[in-house]
Amino acid sequence: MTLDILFQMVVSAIWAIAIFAGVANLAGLCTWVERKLSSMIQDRIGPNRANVRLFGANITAIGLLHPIADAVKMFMKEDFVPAGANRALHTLAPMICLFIPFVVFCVLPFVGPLHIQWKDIPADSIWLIGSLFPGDALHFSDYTLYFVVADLDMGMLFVFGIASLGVYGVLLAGYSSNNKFSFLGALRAANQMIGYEIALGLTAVGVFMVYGSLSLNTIVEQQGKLLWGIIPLWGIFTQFPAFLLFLACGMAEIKKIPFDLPEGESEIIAGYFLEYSSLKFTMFLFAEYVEMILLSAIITVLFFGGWQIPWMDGEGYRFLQWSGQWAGTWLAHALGLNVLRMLIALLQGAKFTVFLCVWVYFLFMIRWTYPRVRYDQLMKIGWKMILPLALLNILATGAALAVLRGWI
Amino acid sequence: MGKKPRKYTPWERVYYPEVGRGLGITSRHFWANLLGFIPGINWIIRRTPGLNTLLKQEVVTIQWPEQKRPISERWRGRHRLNKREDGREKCVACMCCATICPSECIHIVAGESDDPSVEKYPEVFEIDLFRCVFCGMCVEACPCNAILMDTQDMLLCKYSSNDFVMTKKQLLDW
Repeated sequence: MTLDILFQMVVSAIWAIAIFAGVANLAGLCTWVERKLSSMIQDRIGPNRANVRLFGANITAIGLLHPIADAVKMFMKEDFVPAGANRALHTLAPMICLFIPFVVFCVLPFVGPLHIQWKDIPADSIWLIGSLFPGDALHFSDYTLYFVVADLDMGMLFVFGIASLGVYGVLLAGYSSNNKFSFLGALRAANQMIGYEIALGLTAVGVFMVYGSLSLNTIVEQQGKLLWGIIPLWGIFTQFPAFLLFLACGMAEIKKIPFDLPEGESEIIAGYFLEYSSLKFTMFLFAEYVEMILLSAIITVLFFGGWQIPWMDGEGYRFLQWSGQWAGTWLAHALGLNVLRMLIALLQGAKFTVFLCVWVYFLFMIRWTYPRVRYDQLMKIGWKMILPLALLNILATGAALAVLRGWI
Repeated sequence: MGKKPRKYTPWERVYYPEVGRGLGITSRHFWANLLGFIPGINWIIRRTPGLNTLLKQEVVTIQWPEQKRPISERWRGRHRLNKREDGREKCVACMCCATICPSECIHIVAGESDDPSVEKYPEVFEIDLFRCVFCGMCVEACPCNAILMDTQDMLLCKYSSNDFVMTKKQLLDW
């Protein structure tokens, strides 16, 4: 191990904590957003009563204190395990459900690689740790920092593989609760998730074919290219049908309306998490929001260029005939090249976050606009419509690529 | 046999355009209501022709109890007993209200009045608000305009159920 690798590891570890904290907070905020957004759609005002007394005034902060109040409420509730339930599995299930979507975030590139051209820092001048690496140095004169927790070459396979494990949490929850409603809900969820898993994978294949990689970082880098010097080659422009299908499959995969069959007040009550209360219930609820953010992030990465800001990256800019390197421009002179690259990295992170939030908003809008589909319709949409269309998309993409790249 | 379901057109069977149309409706509601809460933008929207109909805020919530809804003067609230100029009750204990009351919630015990111009007065005048249906028949039946329901009091909350039996003193000093 060298100092360079150690530094990258430390950055990755900090990045992992930052992403975890960010996503967890965003998911907590989502509970508020969902309630407020639904109230606005339905011409109501929504939660606005939770308050703190500060300087003699009631601060309600447009209902932003409600998530905190909810958390306190959930902590206070009795943690109930029904008689005859398998205690170990009953406790394990919500943990699996929450763990899986969080893990998937570690392969998503939120910010592009940051290229540093500064100066070498010899090991002697680094306190304590430097003495472990005699003669080594931090090569900041030419260093590329990656803001991905784990930059896996098989990134997208990892996403699908881990996400499909999520069905274990759901199935265990229903199976261990010793309740027939729970069990029915779990079976429905398992059927739906496994069924749409196949279609989800196949719809994304078109994207892999176009960008020629499974690594999410490579997919995003490829999306920085321009078509006719003006249109960014984002997934939505190259794989529009796949995008529409992926969206539908993704929504089915996270069990949200219009595909929220695993829950149903009139038939199976709350479905697989019927026998859960207190923090375990919160974990299921929370997992649903994290899954939603995850789906938004994956959509952003695959179809909306991830961190790619159109027409520019850390190295240079290009738009029609105007293109060039940042180095040597007045902007680089004014700010310094490293600062400029860091600013662009910040912008990239901001762009990713904005797109992610827009997709979370979109999923909420869908949720509060549509009634659910019937169970036979759900199966029909998955197996008879999306699956053949995804296969057709792969065929068409293959043919188009063969013609465009002159293989035929 | 019920009515046969309508056949969907190919446009509807593609599903996505109709999804978009539905999202348009909910989005319009969402943005109209959201922007209506932002004072500056609200001011602009209300004064721009076209926008003020498209993005008209449709929230009708009244922030009760900080903000109260205006009540009609004829609205029937909790009862009160009307007073004469000298501060005594107008009621002459004729029992008209107690007789017409459909829920039999008025209890009157009549007594002889000190005032020579008045024959009787109510020694006890109680209204059981639990039984009362707020129909207003007592007010209509009263020949002396003595019982009224114009307090506009809708906050009938007490800590004890005994407090819901209004005594004469409470009815006079509302």
